[in-house]
Amino acid sequence: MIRRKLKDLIRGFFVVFREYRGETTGMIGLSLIISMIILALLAPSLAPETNQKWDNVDRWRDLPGGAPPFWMNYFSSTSKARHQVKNEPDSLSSESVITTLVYNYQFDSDLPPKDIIFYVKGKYTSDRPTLIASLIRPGGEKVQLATRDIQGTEGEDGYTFETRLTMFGGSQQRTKVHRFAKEYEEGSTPDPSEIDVTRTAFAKAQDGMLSRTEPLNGEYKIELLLVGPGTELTNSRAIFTGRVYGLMGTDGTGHNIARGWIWGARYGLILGLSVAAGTVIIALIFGMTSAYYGGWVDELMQRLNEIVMGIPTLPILVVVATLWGRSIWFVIFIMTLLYWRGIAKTIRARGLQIRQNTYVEAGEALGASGARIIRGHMIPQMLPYAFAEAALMVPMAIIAAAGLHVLGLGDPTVVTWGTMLSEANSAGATIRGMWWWVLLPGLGITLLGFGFISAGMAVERIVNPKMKQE
Amino acid sequence: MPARVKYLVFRTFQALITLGIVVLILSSLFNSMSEEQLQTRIRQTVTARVRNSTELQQLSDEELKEWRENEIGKLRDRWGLDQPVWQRIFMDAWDRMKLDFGQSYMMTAPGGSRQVMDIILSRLPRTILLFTTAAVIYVLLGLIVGLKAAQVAGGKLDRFLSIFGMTSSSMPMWWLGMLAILIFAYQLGWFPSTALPLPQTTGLDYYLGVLYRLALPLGTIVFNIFGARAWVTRNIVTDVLQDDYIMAARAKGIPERKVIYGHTLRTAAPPVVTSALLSLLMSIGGAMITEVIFNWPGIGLLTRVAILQGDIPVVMGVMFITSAIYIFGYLVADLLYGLLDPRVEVGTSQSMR
Amino acid sequence: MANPVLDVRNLTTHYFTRKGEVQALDDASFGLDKGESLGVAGESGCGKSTMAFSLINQVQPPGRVVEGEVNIDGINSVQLSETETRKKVRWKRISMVFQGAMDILTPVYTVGHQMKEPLHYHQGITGDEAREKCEKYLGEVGLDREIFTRYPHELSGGQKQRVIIATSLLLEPAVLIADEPTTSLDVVVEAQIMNLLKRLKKELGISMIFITHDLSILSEVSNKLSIMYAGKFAELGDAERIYNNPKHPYTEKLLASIPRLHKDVKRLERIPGAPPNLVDPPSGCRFHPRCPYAEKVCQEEEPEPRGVEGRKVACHFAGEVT
Repeated sequence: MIRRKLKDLIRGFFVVFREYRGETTGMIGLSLIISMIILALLAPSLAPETNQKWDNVDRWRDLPGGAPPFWMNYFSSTSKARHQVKNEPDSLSSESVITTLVYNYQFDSDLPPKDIIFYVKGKYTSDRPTLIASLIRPGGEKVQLATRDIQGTEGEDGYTFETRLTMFGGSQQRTKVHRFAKEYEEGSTPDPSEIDVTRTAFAKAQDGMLSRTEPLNGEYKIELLLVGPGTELTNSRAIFTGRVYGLMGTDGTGHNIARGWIWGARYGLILGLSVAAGTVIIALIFGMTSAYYGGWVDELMQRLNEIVMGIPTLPILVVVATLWGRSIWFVIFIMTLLYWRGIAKTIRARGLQIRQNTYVEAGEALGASGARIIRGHMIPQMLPYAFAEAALMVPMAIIAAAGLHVLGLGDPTVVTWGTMLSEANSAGATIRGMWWWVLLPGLGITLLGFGFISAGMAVERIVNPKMKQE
Repeated sequence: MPARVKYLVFRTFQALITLGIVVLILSSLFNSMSEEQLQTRIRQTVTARVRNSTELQQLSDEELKEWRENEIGKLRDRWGLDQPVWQRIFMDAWDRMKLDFGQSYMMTAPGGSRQVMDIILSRLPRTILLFTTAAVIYVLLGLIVGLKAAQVAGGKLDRFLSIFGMTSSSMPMWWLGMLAILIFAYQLGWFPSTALPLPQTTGLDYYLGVLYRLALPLGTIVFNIFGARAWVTRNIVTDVLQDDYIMAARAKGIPERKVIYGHTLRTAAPPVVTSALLSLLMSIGGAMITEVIFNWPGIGLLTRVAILQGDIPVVMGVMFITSAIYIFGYLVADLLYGLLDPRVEVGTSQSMR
Repeated sequence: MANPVLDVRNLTTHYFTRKGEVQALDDASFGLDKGESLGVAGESGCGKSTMAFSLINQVQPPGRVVEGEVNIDGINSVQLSETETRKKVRWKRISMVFQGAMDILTPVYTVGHQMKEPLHYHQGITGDEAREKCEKYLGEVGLDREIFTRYPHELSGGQKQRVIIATSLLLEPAVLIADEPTTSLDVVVEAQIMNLLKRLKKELGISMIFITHDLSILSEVSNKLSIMYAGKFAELGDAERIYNNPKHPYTEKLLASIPRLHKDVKRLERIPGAPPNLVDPPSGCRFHPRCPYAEKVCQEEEPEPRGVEGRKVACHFAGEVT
């Protein structure tokens, strides 16, 4: 019995799908949904540690802040340095108390990296070593930039240390670069705080080096000296933070937008599909019961539905989030509790039609109970309608939930497209021209929404031929 | 006619019930939460009084303790904490229904009043200005474009509209606002990216200044909604155009203009008008968030600021007003349908959606 | 036929659909004198309604009149522009009573509003004068005057049909087309409407084209009869003669398939097969796949209408087989 019904259901699905294949926008929508689902499923492996550590500044500090996507280079006349990580130094030599590491950097774009960050790991026996970083320009000029006294933690045999050094990060470095470049300036020199440090450091040594920089391409060497007796280097890494970064760039605090985006797809789908599934189940039960029993039951349920229709969603969501907490599950719960109303109306109207069908009567004559008739006969017929309505529900839920983020009521424990957009808004991404930060997350909402809307409309056109064009 | 009056009374009653339910929900959410907060506030108030009064500071410890307890009790009475929760919920709901929203925690109206109602009233006209202007534009634009598309069903405009309608309605309105700022404020520099500060001039200059600040949010709302509106209009009109009486009207030799703007539009009017009104209500949320994006000082921005400052009475007040507008807008849409369609004697919700 | 009111020549109308060109009406020619009435019969989909709408040059897109003339009262409606057709032909020279099953009256306007429209746009008559005229015709079709202020949904099917008949008479057109006016009305109302039309024809001397799939009612109202099959005229001529002595095999079959009052028929026949697809109609005679008398020539050559016993019959064996 159940197997036969399941078979019927599957057959019905294929009948609809065969027609569905003819719907161009519907097929586009479906492929959008499927790609998003795949992305969402892969989120933990494609973008590990993203969701949990979104608010952890340390997780993102090695990424450049506010870097546009790398492909912008193809549309721009000035090419910008890409992000580069070197896990090994190009040369490593040790001479008594000095360990010398050299990283080569081939600079062939118009804009140099934003900064260079080193991670140096090692151990020492007793005297604290010093780390000195210098930039050797193609012409051979050497600019000593950063120094750091290393503080390790005591272990069994001596001290171990892991230190992070930013080459251009501090005001000291700024002054040093400024001092180096000032020699070449002929006119007035801007204040150290006004210069772009790396641009000057990677510029042709000529007049205007501080303001009208011209890039000096060629091979740069970055020399790291680790000075101290009994010091041993175990590991080192250099990060040349890019002026452009990754597929989607980074936001103001250095979050990799692509990673957040993938999680946005995941939470968007979780939210949208949960709400859709929940509302459809409630609506099916409500609408079918109402249509099946008719009479005063129907009357009462319709009045109830009308009352629920009149309840605005946003205020309830806002108040719940303000007072009770901002969990995404609250949002799903409230939306499910309210959004079933419209679907229930459609379902009831269709249910009234199906009720006329002979075999519901036949079922009644055979003595099947009300609930069994609804389950067995009416619900399977309603499923395509319910599916179409549910599909239209998804974008509505996602947009509303994203709006809560902008109002300052988003769930802080998850990364959604709304999270990113609200951060973009707070950080003034729009007036800073960081279009990728604004455009891409919103595009996610739009694509997913378009996918569901076009799929839903296609199904609706199939099951409800009156809506067909022509 | 009596049937219509009966229906009006019934629907109004139903709307009031809905409003009552919503307010009860809001009030119970509010009360179950705010007890703790109120306790803290009362304690703070009393402590502040002790700190500011040299008289009290001269009392002995025991006397002071007694005074404090007395004072806390008084304040608890005043805030109604001595009453059971359900009673507080009902009192609170009743106050709200009387449009008494109490005092804000810290926000003030321009005149310095801490009455939530005054704060909201100082912001509401700006929201209404933005929202209704946008609504008028997108309803008209949607009507014109939808009608044009329906006249050549399957034509270029029609096909474009179906894609445009689908795409624009899958975009969050406020996101479009952000893009608008990027393009028209940051890139092109035609309009300001923020509505604040409002112009300080008077007369014509003031209105031009307001219009200048209004342009982007207005354009955003219109762009977001009119596509879907036009699409809905197009569908309704296409349905009507296929009806036999349109063919009959044409056979009568009536000018095409009259067939379209008379017979067709008049027949399509009830669902077109009702759905326009409903979409207006649906867009309240989006429009409020759009205010935040543009810093338009209406109730949307007020909500955001109140949330950030934790000024719960203000949040509650705004949400009550929004709910009331929504519920009565819904009622009006329903009644309007009956008024516009002679076939519907009472203006029924059954025939909508 | 010295000076016919309506003279139709080679009227051809096709629908240009995605699946191909539907040849819904092919090469129809006939004339109609003053006071004469023509009955058009055939199965559904044979092009009867298409012909009706072709006459007022108002074929629903994607259909279009591709060829032919419709001379009415001295003008050829097919050649006129849309505006001119609207002003000179529709309702003024040819008015129409539509299928009873249709929603012919705009639901949001009162009956009066819709009746006054043709008077307003064709003759510039408005206000009380228009109202008087409308009420006069409402009386003519046996309706109460107060119907004028009613909305369509307040009327019964029969009342609506009377309203549209009254409206169709307002401008005193030369020709009135009645396109299945009694479909979906119940039998009593059907008889009433038919009697009304018969009376109006007699009293007003109006020329009528009466379209139906129900042959049995045609003999009463029309003196000429045309039988249509697959977009073409099979037989055209005096109603009485065709009715009693069909010369086209299709006419014969069609008559045999309906119950008749005056003849003793043992059993009703059915025509085997189905009407052809008009995107790709059969070669030669379009009826040949279903015709019991069909021979090779029927497949190959399209029969020209030929005069047999005072009528035109489009059959290679007209008069020979039946």
